[in-house]
Amino acid sequence: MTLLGRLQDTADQDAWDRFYAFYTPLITGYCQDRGCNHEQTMEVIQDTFVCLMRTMVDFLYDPGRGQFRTFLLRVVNSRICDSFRRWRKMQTLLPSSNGCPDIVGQVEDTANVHPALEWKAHWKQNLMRQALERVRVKVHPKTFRSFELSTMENWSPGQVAEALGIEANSVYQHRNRVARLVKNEIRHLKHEWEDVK
Amino acid sequence: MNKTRPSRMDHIRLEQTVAMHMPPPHFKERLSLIRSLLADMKDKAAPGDGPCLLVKDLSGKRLVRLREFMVVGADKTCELPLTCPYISRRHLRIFFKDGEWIVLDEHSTNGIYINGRKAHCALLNNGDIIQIGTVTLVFLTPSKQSGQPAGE
Repeated sequence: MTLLGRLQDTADQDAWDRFYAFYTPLITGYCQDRGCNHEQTMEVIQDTFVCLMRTMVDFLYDPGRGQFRTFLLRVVNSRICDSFRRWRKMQTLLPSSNGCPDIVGQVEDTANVHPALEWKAHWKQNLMRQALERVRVKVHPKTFRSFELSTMENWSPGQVAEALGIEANSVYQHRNRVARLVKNEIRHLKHEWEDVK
Repeated sequence: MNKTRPSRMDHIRLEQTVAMHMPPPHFKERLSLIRSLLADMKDKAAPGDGPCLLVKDLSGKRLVRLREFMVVGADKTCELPLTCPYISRRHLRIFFKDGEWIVLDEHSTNGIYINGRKAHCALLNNGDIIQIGTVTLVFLTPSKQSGQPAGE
């Protein structure tokens, strides 16, 4: 059974922990891009997770009807709208409450926002981030650093070799090895969170 | 040396990670608590049931459908009477106003804690945990919006 399938069991702590670890950064980043402050972001995550805890019991995933992440986007978007509505009301209903920042006028600008595209971009970023974290603990720190410097920071192999005290040829090897591992992890993550086979 | 040489790894798109303000660790614990409370209440916690309170006290767990105005306390005349230590006769009230559910401390002796923070009044969000004395109340709404209150 896949992780998505295991979420039907609310008592499956491991599946829900992994779900939390995978999706919380994605939802957090997306909420921040949509203009939510930290408190609102936590509200949206809480609301989304509680909603899923109650709906996943009867959730039957059919890839033919769409991806799970698309369903999740609808849930999150709905929660973001709820959150903005609540925060606008908060000041009128509870004018004397503390810790209620003035958000009137901070309504999210939806004119130039394409939620599906933003969500997709965050999804890809999240996949990459999590794959990198998984690979980071699997390889020697110097190997990973070599990959980081040569690909993410665009250092030349010569610079990386000099900085890490290794041969330039090793830099190429490290880079290719880590890249291969990252691609594998991305494939695994996609399988875990998109497939039911 | 040229530090801006483009990467040859075009097949892997490495984007700059934007610094994110992630939820604190205790936030996950809170969600885990809600999950564990819901774990053996699948049938009763079906979505679409309307807003309710998941009550965990000395007698166990149960779901209580919310009414438009409810007083929670040790007094038997309260809409939700609770017989647990550290609970005042009229401890708090929960009511529905302008489409929102609000919790208000009724000047109780020991106060109320919402998601671990002491509060006098708050708008409730799906999954908020209200702690009064030894009793845990979890506010749950249907999957869509805040829901309408049950009839009196």
